[in-house]
Amino acid sequence: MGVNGLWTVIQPCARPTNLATLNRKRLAVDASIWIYQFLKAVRDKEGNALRNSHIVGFFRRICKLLWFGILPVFVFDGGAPALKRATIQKRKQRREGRREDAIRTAGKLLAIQMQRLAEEEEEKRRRESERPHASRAAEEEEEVIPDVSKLVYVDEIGMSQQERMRNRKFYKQDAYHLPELENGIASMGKPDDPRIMSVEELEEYARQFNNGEDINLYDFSKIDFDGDFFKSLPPPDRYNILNAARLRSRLRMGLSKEQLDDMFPDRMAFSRFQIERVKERNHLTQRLMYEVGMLGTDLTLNVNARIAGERDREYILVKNEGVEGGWALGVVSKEKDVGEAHKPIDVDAIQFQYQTKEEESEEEEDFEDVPIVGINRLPKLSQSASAGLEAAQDINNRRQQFYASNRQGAVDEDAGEGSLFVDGQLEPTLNLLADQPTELMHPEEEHDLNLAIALSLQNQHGIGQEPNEESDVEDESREKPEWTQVAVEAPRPIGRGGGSMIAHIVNNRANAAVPKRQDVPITTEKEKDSDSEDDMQAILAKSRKMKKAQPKPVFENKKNPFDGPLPFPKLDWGSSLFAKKKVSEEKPIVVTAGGVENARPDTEEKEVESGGGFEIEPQKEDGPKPLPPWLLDNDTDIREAIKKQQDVEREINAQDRAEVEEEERLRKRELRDQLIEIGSSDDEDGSDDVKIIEIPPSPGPEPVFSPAKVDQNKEEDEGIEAPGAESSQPKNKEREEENGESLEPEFEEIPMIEAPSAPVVPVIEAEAQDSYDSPEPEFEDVQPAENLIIQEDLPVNSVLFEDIPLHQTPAVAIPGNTTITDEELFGSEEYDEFSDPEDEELLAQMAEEAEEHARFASELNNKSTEQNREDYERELRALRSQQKKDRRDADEVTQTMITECQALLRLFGIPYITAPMEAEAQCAELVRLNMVDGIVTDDSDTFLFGGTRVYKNMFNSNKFVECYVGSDLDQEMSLSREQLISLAQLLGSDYTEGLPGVGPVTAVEILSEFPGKDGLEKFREWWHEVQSQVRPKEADASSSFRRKFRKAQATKLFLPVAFPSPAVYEAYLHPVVDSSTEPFQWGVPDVAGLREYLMATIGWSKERTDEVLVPVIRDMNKREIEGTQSNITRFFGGSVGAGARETFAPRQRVQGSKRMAAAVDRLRANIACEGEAPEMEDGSGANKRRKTSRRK
Amino acid sequence: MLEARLEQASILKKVVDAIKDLVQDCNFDCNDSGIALQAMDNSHVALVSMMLKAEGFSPYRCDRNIALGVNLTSLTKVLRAAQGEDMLTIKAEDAPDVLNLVFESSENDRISEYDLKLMDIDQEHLGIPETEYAATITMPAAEFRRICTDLAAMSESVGIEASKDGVKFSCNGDIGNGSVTLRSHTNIDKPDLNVDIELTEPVSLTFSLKYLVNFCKAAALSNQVKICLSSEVPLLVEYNLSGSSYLRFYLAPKIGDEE
Repeated sequence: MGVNGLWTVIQPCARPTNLATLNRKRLAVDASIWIYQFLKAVRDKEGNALRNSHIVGFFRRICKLLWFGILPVFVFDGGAPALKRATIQKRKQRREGRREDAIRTAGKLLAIQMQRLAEEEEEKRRRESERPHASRAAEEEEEVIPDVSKLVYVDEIGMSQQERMRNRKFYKQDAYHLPELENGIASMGKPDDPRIMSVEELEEYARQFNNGEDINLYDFSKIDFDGDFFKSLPPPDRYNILNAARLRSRLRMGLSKEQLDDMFPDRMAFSRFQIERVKERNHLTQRLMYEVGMLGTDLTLNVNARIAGERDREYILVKNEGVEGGWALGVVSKEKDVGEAHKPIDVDAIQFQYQTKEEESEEEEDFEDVPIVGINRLPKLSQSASAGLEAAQDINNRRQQFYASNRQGAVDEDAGEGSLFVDGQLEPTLNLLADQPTELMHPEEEHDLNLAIALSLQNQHGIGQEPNEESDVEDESREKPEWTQVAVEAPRPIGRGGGSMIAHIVNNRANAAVPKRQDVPITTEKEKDSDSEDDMQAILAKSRKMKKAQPKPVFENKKNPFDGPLPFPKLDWGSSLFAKKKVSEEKPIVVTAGGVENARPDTEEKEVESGGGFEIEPQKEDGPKPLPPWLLDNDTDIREAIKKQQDVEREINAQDRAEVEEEERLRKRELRDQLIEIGSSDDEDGSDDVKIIEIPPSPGPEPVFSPAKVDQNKEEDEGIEAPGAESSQPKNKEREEENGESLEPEFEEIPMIEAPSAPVVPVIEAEAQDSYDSPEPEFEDVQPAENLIIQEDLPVNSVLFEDIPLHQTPAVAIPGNTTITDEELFGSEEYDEFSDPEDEELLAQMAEEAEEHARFASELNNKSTEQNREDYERELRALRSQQKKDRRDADEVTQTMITECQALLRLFGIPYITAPMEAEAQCAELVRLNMVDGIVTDDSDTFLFGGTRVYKNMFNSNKFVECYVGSDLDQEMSLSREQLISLAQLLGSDYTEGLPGVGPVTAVEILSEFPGKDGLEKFREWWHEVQSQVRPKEADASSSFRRKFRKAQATKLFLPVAFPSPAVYEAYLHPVVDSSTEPFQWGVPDVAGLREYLMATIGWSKERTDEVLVPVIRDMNKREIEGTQSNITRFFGGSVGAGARETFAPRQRVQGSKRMAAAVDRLRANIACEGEAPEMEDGSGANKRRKTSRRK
Repeated sequence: MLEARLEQASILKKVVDAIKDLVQDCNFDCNDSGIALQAMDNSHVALVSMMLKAEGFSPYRCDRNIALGVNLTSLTKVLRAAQGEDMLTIKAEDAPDVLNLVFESSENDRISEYDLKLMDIDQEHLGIPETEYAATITMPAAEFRRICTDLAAMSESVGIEASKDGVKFSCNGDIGNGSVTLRSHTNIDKPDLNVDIELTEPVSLTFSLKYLVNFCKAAALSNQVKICLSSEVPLLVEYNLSGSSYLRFYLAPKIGDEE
């Protein structure tokens, strides 16, 4: 486009211009080059054109023009002059040639590779031939060996042929050897064809696959990598798990300092945490390496081979032709996928962090709390009341937020989340519906119902209390927060476990943690009483609130179950890590606190014990991870349960409450006896119990339950604490009553923990055992440790563990509800990632294959791998960019694009014309006719058509808008229009191909060497003389340019036959243009029409359009009312120079090439000699001259 | 050779302070009649014209016309070295690379000397036609500044309407509208507070307040400001310095779409 390199020649004449000074200027816009630019420049990575890029580009640019108050007139290209067509044709041919080159290079590439291959083969053969005789003999022998089946070894003498065959090991001799067909070909294709999966098998497979997907959900920290179970996994699974665990171990390190500070108020704790992380990562890495080294045969990633060649990565940096400075970086690597997998995680973590700051601080606290659960409660209680108040405030805030999010979630369920999640997870879960959940539900429900009935009859609290509680405004607000808390916490715990099972665990913990928070506020309120009492009361209040809140959650729950699994795991990761550490860290704290309160010592003990329990738990969790069916079952159960639960939810809630009350009472009594031990166990148990309860409900009910659970947990916690306190203090009765009310969920739990609860527990356990075969052993192991403390607790604990897997889904659901707003984003992202694991894998495989090929090719070559690789990649890169270019060149501006752009202009109320021929020529004509004040184009052809006041870089924010005034070119550079056309003949333009090897500087030198209008003819004559050896060298000795040019170009440059083509001059000097002087009129943008149009063409929403359009229109309207700011140059004209008034802009001297400067000076001097310019001075003189001449 | 001595360095300091927000680089054109400056702001909406007559200096000597291309930000930094009562002597060669500034304290014998590197600024000068303004308002500089800042809080532009009733500054913004009206007023005790309106015909124009507020930074230079209006012509805001020296601001009006 334009004259090659002309811009660099005239660069010194550029006047940097402020866009604001173009206010109310009528500018002709060369639209043809715009479309061309958008078509060629806006490309995707592959080099494909983006459809409708021209509309987007036009829209943006028009908005910018309007914003600056510019009155544009768009000029479209008409036909192309014959000259131009010819030039384009020639160019195309040249391109074709290049393309052939590309094909040739590809062929060469292949040939080289083949050659190398052949050489390699040769080498191999030679080596083989050189091998020691023994081996050769062996080979020969091998050849001689007749039929193995007929051979008889000494051992086998006496055996029948069949026996022999059976005993002998089969050695494959043929790479394509197929196993014997056992049933004959006839049985193939029948329904029982072993090669065809039955529907059940398919489902099973899908389920496994699904589970595999969830690998990231697992709580790797809980995996016992030394365990038999883990070892029994197939190597790829082991590798995947290890790899994921290792990768995850890196997470959470990107936390902000503040967050870390919050999480680790103690420096020592933080450093300990870090060291632990490092240790763990190292451990995992070693394990991974071991895994790869020893067992790596089957691993999905062929790590061994890859490392050597660095095949994992291939960065291709390709210049985007047509765009200024555009580079596209494509990464082809297997790691890419990994990175993607990571990204979601990181994103989540970030987003998680992004949650409102209020929440953040609170959440962080929660984080800590969650892991500690039991432990945290105590310290919090011990903490000052103020802390409690703060916590309560935080909770309130969260509640409100959660509420909002929940509502949104509910609204969006059908549309947003539903669509996203349902596709991914619902279907599988539905398909995998398991009987277990339903079964579990029923007994529990029945139990709950019975309890509820009993409670309702006996206790007035049950239903009656709820309304009362609800009446409390404060309580209600609290309820919401609790929910939110639960959700927040839940995600963290989920992170620990794998998949949904982890989530369940997390939920349990979260529930436990929730109580902690509640406890804190409660304690603040009622610190006077023992902590436990306070907690109890608070719990009660919360529970009341929870009850109220529950109905809403139910709705949300539906969504959550689906969403839950995806978003949560990511969120949880960090928390999971922290949780462990926290537990360990917090324990000491608890101990210190313990001395103060009776309950605390208990808790300490419990904690210690629980520590063991915790460890056990991880194992248990690990167990569940490998077992996908559970998860599936749970999910299915959950869904089914949801339906059922929805119906029964309210009843259950009521029941729960009643149960909780009963349980609490029982507990308190028992607890008094067993105060300390129970307390600790209760904490855990409580959470477990809660989980159990939740489990039956399944995700749907979960929301309802979750509140209940939360309450329960809180209650439990309180209850636990309370027991301790009660033991020391005789206020249990009151608390118990309160607890009973608030602790509805706890009821169930309590009984389980205690002797009364035992019956319930067994059922659950039995169920759990049924469902989890592998985990059971672990559970049992765990139990003993717990048993030491309290036998009663043991069942509870086991229940807890078992429950955990079941609960996972519910837990997930809960977090989902609470964090819906934040998670929605995550959810979708995660969903994408999760949804396409196959695709990702496929891509990864493809990339791997490409890498493998690169390695393969390099191996074939005898060259060093690196060099080989370099060569190969260079060639490949060249081929690729060539391909891209070809693709780009193949695209042409179509009439449709032009009409679309014109439609856009009509809607903007902007006048446009279609030039008879060249748009640049028409623009120049418009300026000449004073129809416009300037030209907006990046096409330097305009000057050759006589254009002036050309604005360049109008849309490049990196550069100043440059204004070029035709008279400047004449005055400063002594480049008249004719000279410019001569330049074009040398440099090449749309009308002429130019001279090869002649650049801008040389061209200007030629012009300065051969001045005058017939300069090019003189040049041609001279060159002909030079080439025909007619002209002696001495004749040119006086001119350094001629000497150099002769030297450099003598053998290269051959002038075209019709070198200074008069047709080119003619075409530039007398272009076909429309000289109508009918003034342009500008209309008002049709906003509605624009919205509609953009919606129809590029699918922009109204909001998207308005985003840009509305401010522009508003500004235009304002200008209409207030008037437009005029420029002072309008009133105070410059004294000299055409167009100075319009383009008043100071110029900055730019020091260009010295040769260029010298050539320009000579040019100027020549012209001065010819008398075309009156003055002749050196450069600085010229500068001064202009300045002074313009001064009045 | 230029050599000019200002009794008070603060005058130049205030001038530069007043215009440095409008203009970054500009030429000080020195000739035998004095030192002149003309520059537009980046957007070409406002024009600053300063004239320090030779009488304002003692002594003043300028043999040839010299253009001192100065970055005003840099000049401000140098001028900051001047203390309140310092005398300033400006010196430059005929084809200067640097501008020499010497600050002399009258109280003690402290002499500080600075060389400021000059720039080659290729700046074109506008011809400012002599205009008979339809309305000329003279008012306290502080009053004008107050009006501008007050109205700038409301809107981006101010309408100045001069009629025989007085001059009315009015604005219309998103949050509401407001106006300030001044009438001719003579205060015998304090002539600085006089408001004088000379009117040949009523005129009404709209201007950008952003620029007017910028102009008002020159209020420290003079107690009185002269505002000249004529329709279809830039507004002139003039601050008189000692003698016949002046600092003038021209501001292009906002005009309707119909032009």
